[in-house]
Amino acid sequence: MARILIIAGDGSSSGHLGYAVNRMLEEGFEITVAAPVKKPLITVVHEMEEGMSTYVERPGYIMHADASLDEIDPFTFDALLLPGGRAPEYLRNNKRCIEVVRHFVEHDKPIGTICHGPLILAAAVKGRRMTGVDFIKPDIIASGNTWVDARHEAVVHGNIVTAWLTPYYYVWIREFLSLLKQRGIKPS
Amino acid sequence: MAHILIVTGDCASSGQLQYALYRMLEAGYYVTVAAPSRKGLFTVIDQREEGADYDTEKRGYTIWPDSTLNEVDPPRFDALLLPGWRAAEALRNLPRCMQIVHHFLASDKPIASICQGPRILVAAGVKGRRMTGLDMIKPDIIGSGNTWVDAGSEAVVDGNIVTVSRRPYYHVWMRAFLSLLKERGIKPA
Repeated sequence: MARILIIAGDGSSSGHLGYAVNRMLEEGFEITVAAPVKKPLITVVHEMEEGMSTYVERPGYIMHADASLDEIDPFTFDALLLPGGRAPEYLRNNKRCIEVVRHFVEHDKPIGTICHGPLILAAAVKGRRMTGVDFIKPDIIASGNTWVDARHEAVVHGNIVTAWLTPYYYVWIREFLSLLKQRGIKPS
Repeated sequence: MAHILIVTGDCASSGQLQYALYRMLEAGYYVTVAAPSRKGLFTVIDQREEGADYDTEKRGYTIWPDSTLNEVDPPRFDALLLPGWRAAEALRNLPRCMQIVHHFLASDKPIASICQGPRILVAAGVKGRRMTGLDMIKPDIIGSGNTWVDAGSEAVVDGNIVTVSRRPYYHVWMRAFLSLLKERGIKPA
């Protein structure tokens, strides 16, 4: 059975992580949520509010991590999902996280990310076309990747799927599942 | 193109409403979210935290309805979704909400609900059905002349009605609902 790895942490987007987890389960994939520490994760709700030029953050659902990043063996997974939120900002500084992400890059395995998630990719890849939340455009460009103003369309470059932000979870996952299908990665 | 109606309101479960809405969009259905009034809905993060006997609430994502309950024309829709949590307690008291639900019941169109959502169904006069939901609503299901099923992680399907217990079984809920839509030939495009 195909296995999907989801890397998350405290400050992951409640919406992205929730949709990714339940959607992969609905499809019948076996999933592992890995975080720096195996513990309940405090996810967050990011949202624009009237009168604010950037988003506000509130606590979201508490989601369980199945494993620590140190415990997992990337070779046992077929694809990777990187939800956004504030977590990517510190996950990209975690050496083990980047090591795991590089495994998927080097083995050309599907990777799907959204919003702030491409910050993690920017720490591991170069020369790709990508999108994400508008605020991370400088990071994408500075890391030697190409920024795409994709809005409600997903950007697919080889094995990497990126999508804009909430509420385009469905655009993100639809494109990710389509890539899995194209590559013959089936639930069972 | 098949058209799905989601009836909801303030204090709907953020997780349930979002999963239902985005899952239907992912599948390619045309979706209308209808609420008592056209304004940003305050959804809630409903979760039973460690040490708590019942779920607590935090403010979740703001979801904008496409239409008010008064504006929707039920015959234009092929199926109905009723997300749960505390919104259901209020919605079942609205005559217009009941009118809409009656349409789906009378015309045997698919209806799926989860958590506290089945309280809307029993208020609309559903009787003699096998149903599940959040464990705390068991008295409402039995008191209304329906049969309570301790379904755990399984969906309960009785004719055109799909019910599921609670978080985290959003995927069980949507899988069963999509399978019923497919069975009845209700296709995205």
